[in-house]
Amino acid sequence: MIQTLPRGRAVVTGNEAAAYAVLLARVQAIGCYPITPQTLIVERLADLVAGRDDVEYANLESEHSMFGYVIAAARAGVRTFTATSSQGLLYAHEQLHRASRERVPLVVVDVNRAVFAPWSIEPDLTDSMSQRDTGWIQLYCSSAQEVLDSVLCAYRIAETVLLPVMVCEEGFLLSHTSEVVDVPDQETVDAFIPELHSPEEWVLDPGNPRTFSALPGSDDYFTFQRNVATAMDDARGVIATVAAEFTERFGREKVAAIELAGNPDAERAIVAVGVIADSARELLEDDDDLLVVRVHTYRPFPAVEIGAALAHASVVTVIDRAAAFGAFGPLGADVRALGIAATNVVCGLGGAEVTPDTLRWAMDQTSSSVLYVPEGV
Amino acid sequence: MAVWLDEIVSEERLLLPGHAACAGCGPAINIRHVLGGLAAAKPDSKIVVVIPASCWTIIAGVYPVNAFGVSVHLTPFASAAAEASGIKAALRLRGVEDTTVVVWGGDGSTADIGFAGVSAAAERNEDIVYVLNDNEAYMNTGVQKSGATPEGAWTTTTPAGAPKRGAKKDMARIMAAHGIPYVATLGAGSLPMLKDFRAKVERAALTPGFRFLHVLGGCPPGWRYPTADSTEVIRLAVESRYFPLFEVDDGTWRITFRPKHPVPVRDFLATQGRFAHLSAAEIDTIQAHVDARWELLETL
Repeated sequence: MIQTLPRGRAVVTGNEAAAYAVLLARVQAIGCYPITPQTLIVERLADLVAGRDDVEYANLESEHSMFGYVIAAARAGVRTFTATSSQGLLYAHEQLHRASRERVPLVVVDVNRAVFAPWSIEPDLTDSMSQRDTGWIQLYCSSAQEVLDSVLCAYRIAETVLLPVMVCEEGFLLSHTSEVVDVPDQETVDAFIPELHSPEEWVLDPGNPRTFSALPGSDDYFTFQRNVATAMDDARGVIATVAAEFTERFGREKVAAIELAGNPDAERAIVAVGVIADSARELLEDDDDLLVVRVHTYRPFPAVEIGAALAHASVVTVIDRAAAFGAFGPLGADVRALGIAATNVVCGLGGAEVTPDTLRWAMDQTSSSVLYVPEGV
Repeated sequence: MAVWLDEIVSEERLLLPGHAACAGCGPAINIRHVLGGLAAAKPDSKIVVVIPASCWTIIAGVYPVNAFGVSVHLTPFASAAAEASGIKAALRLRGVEDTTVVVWGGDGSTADIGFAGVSAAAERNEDIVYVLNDNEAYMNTGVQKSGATPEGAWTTTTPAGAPKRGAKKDMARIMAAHGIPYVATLGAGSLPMLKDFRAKVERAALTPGFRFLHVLGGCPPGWRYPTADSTEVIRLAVESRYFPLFEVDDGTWRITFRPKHPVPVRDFLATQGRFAHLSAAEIDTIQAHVDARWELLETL
């Protein structure tokens, strides 16, 4: 059976939305290795590209090899995709550091899942947030639509700044939950994402012998690292420009760095990512002294935007669905580094339920050290 | 019949003079003949070499100096086979068909940390040439035991008081068990052996699919022998049947080089300090294992 993409408004899961976006972006090389809850993305892509000779689809034997495969294919000049979760992302950790330093424009979807031990396949952001220093742009989604839109934007961003982009969606809550999603047509996407033209000097060309990533002296090594930092800073503007262009072309708003909901002049603010930020909006129904700050772009960290959004708030609560033992949670640490005396609460690890009551409890706390939500809340 | 070097080697060097290998580096001789042999067999074809972490990340040259006359893609320790697959796939998509993608991976990379990746690329029958550049230990980090370190050998992690126990991992037979189109063992210990070496490289160049070349190369500091003896050590490795030269071409096994006057394995072991601690009884045991392996090969 020939698989085709749905057109227009369709009921799809976050994982299907990711797969459709990848296909619409005219991906050329796909690396695959199964892991729950990601697997459906590469399964759906396998069906969609079966029999096509303009797409290479490779079954690798590990995520380490899978990331190596797409890095090498990107180095040799084609548009790539892969997806993983949890242990898979951690198994490929070495390749994450390397991909950004090699400046290959990968797009990867990480379906957030808890980290072993003990075993859990439930949603948890520790997998990707613990990779925050690897030089990848990270975009955290809160709906299947945002997954689709962010994957499309990710190709534009990655290929402009020459850094890899990780689009993150919480396992099951987004990956396996069906929503009505607007699937754009191919022509609109083609107009938005031009054919890949990496700079000639970045592409491996057998006719022009060069060695890539050769051993440098210390000063040259430092220069290459500084270039990654500069590219990451340049990405801030590119992410904003691409989101604005997306909004215009596709007729629906694309969040760039952060999204605000509620009262911008409120005394109290809550900062979160992904599905928890979406849950926090429910508090706004009976609370007009609250601002919800949803962080979409986590790396590069939108310090200016978050600082400005929190300028009026005197009580700030930062929610992390990620563990960083012995220190503040990832988002909590970053917000506190802005000089904001935020209370940082960790909740929802391993899919532990986060209800509006959990968030109300969190906002009632004042602490200068990280709090893990206690039993019974 | 005499064999002349200029009958075997005529092409320009693709590992350029001035590279950073140690004096007497066996693999530096071998890569010259691997790349040269591939270029000679397919003169209109380009070569891309994929190199995982090894001495060769240094030998390739300190940026921006480059010791290769071909494109080189450097990878982490464990992913060379997958990355060669990725490059081949990308070149196919770009319509660049006239390129041989070669992995030049050490024994640590191939037999240990990257083993699953090599096996998987073979199982997918990727259209690449995988060369196991075997010098029988982690030499770049200073001579630590690998899965390809031979029985009885000293390394810094298998010291003379507790040398390597158990057999060297038999990578050629393991790869042959994958049913890939071509597997061969190569050693450049003499001009007739070099002729055999080059014939196998040519065969690999002209065979599509996953090709596995197991090349033995001596390491003077790691094996503890004088730098001038690299060729002689390999000659004795082959003539003692310690390292038999054979091929598995489309499933057909053939011993390609039969020593006219086989020598006992002690003649090979005696050339190297890494075996200096072995007792006569231990050498007898190694000889028995060498004989048994040769007899097995004769039946395949």
